[in-house]
Amino acid sequence: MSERVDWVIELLADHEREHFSCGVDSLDNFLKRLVTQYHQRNIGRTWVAVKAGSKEVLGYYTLSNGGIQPGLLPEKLRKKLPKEIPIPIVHLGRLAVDRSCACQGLGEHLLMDALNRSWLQSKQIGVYAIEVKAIDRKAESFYAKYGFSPLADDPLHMYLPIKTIGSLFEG
Amino acid sequence: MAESSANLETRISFRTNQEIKDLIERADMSSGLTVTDYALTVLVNHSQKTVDENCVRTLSPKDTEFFLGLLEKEARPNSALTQAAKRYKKRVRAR
Repeated sequence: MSERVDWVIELLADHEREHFSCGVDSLDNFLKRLVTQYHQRNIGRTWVAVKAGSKEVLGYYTLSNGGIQPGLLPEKLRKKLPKEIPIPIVHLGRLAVDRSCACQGLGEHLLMDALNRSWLQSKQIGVYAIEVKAIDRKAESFYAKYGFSPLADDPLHMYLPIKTIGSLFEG
Repeated sequence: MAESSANLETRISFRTNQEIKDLIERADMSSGLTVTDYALTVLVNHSQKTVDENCVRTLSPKDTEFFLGLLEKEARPNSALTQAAKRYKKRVRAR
């Protein structure tokens, strides 16, 4: 297994990120300017993809916790849920790949890494689903391909139940 | 925004051009607030909305049904997801 490893995905630390360019300004700027604030204030964690032995960021994503407040529900459904607390989710935000690495499957690896870490997280504190926000049609079809379902009234937000991924990352 | 000044221990400052500053001053004059109070009110309201939208969101009844339905739905990953997880385990070292 080890000799075939193409990528290392690890927590953002003293990585080289000044030259990162995915083609979307907001995603580039987040990595260059805002990301350390998120870390320091414990709002989210950013995970970066590098080549083994390198510090140059070639892709990244952020994970944070979130909650879903159920709307007004029929009595029958409401009974299944705690009334006072939101339903816990992991929010996957800002998945981006450097242009030099396009079409190498790195976006898919980053998504799988996020699912893997969400699964580990769910075993510790309980997570109902993973949430992504699809910023455009391309992102939407990317997530749909792996089984994420959009909300009807808010189709940019898509979800994958945590129980779906358990079998993939056990063992 | 009527915080006592004793609690205001941190500051936000930013640069802008004269045109924008004039506009902000006109807006806060007509609202009867100082520039600071006006800017804070607007920023806090907007930030709260952004945080609510991104962290805790309230679903419509229809989407709540969908969301809870995920529990009852078929739990098995589709084949694209299964294959992707295999490739990931083969080619990525997670640290």
